[in-house]
Amino acid sequence: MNASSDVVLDVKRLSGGFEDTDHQILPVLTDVTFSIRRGVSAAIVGESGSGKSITALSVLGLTPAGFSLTAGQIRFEGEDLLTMDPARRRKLSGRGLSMVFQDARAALNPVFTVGWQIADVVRIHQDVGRREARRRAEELLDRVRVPEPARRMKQYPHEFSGGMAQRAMLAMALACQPRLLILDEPTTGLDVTIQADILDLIADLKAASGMTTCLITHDLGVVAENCDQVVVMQQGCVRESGSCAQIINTPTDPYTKQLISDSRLVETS
Amino acid sequence: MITTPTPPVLDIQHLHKEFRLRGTGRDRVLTAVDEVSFTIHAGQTVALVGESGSGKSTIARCITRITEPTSGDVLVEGRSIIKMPSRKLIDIYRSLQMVFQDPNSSLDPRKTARATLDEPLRLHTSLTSHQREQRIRELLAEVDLSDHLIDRLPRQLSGGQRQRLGIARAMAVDPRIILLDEPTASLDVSVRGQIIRLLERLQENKGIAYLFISHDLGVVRRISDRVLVMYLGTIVEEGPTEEVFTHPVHPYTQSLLSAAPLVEVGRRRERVRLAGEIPSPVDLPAGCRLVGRCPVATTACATTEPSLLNVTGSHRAACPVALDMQQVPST
Ligand SMILES: Nc1ncnc2c1ncn2[C@@H]1O[C@H](COP(=O)(O)OP(=O)(O)OP(=O)(O)O)[C@@H](O)[C@H]1O
Ligand SMILES: Nc1ncnc2c1ncn2[C@@H]1O[C@H](COP(=O)(O)OP(=O)(O)OP(=O)(O)O)[C@@H](O)[C@H]1O
Ligand code: SF4
Ligand SMILES: [Mg+2]
Ligand SMILES: [Mg+2]
Repeated sequence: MNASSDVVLDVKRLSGGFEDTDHQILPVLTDVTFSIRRGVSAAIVGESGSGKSITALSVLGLTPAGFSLTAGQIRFEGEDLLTMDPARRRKLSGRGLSMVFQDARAALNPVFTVGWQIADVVRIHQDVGRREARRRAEELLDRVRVPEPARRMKQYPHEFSGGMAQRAMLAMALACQPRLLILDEPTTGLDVTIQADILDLIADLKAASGMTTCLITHDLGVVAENCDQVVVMQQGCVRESGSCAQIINTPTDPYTKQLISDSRLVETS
Repeated sequence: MITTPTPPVLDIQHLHKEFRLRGTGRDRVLTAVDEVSFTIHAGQTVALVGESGSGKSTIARCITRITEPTSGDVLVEGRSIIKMPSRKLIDIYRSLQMVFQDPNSSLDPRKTARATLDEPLRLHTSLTSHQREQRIRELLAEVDLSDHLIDRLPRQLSGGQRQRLGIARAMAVDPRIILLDEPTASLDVSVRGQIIRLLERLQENKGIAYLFISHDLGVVRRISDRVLVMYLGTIVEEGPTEEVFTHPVHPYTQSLLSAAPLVEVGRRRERVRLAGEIPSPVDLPAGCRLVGRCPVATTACATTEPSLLNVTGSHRAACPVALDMQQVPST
């Protein structure tokens, strides 16, 4: 296997921003470059507002209204996502690429039960009937540690606690069985025991299916324990990227150094 | 005897919240919060930690009456607010503010950052519009939001920026107590540090009290005076923060504290894992709620529900078995 086929996601010099009222583009991403190899656990870390979510949404083709890319390339398994025919790109989302959004509750549809929404995704992506889809949806809820999945299936998103809504979103993303899963702050608001269980579950699924993951988080503890590769962002730029051990133990960039020393300050041990 | 001249800022008495679940056949009851009591004094920070779904947000929502409690009482500076008509609640919101876990649904999507902060200032202060504008800019600076975000709508902000707007709104009118539900969840360490310092500074200068709901144990340990640990709707352990962190007694607390990740590559703390499924708040078991997952459970645990027993001073835990093992006499 050659080196390039090993790369699942390759983002090159990606730039873009939001159009303001005078039709000027205010840059949010500047020359963002990084790549993720197949099967690894990658992480994107960086300060609030640095462009982590917008980068991920650009990969998914789901950037908010008003945002436009001005330069750069995004390749997924060698194919250029930005010049790809839209129908082909839609096909890739789900089985190819999937994402757990930062704001879980807003990403769930308030008028359908949680079970219905997950089963719907299962039906679309796994080619099974309604009954089997419901069964698999329930199993997924169980795997993400939502207690009493059968009963919870029938509830609406507002009846879920914050952490449960987050896990329901995760179940939905897992239902797609994607090759690349981007998780935007998937464990914020979860207590540490469940957070650890969820990260273990993701590790198990990776081991079983070879799925590649990209975790967006502000929690360097989570990164240190679970990731192989790290991308550090600040103000729309990539400051540094490399192996997790290298970045956490011997950071070279001043911003990264600061980030790591700040994290150790609030550590419990 | 010293008599306390001022009532606690917040006094929660036997707070209870049940949700009725529709279903085929008879409706069933989900007990989200089960007879919870605690107090918070001026200038004090009390942290509420515990398993997801254990009822933390529901407690906060009942205190602000966004959710009506099933029974129990909530006193703000000595006044019961449970039976208060909604128009009088406006008054209470001058003293009591909340930062929501989910900033998306609590910020008005049609209001810019400026309008969001202007509203409480108009309602609760007599500042002129010029003074309000100044205060708004001050508030934005305090939560590290730059001026150019002032005309943005919530959906035009990043997750962490929205969260900080919610914090600025709660601080706008100098309340006596702020309920903070996961206020730092999506903030990176530097901004989180800044918010924590801001909270500490406000507390020092103005004696604001906080109810701090968080899963971030590092932050909890740093800023709270007392910690309440919840499991399935009840408090299973409470006490001075340092005491609980260094000598956790309840098996659930021990497991919780052992799961926090460290910033160290490949290094994983030995986790005290709880076996089994998280039970459901519907049809609660008769005995201790941890039975079935607890590594030290005895047969008695399945039949009698343990109540909070003294460990030392104001440190209490709801587990007679662990207390016996500590060989600390319970008084
Ligand atoms: N709809 C929008 N209009 C204008 N600017 C926007 C819009 N959405 C986001 N932004 C800006 O783009 C920048 C990057 O946002 P992004 O959501 O990617 O940040 P992030 O790194 O995910 O931050 P966080 O950790 O707070 O979630 C932010 O400064 C934000 O204010
Ligand atoms: N409106 C509602 N209808 C039915 N059940 C509800 C409702 N709101 C909350 N619940 C249930 O009450 C329980 C407690 O929820 P709550 O949101 O208080 O948990 P939490 O401790 O804040 O959890 P998290 O850490 O995940 O935010 C959960 O089982 C939840 O599903
Ligand atoms: S009372 Fe029994 S089951 Fe409950 S925590 Fe203590 S030992 Fe475990
Ligand atoms: Mg984000
Ligand atoms: Mg909550």
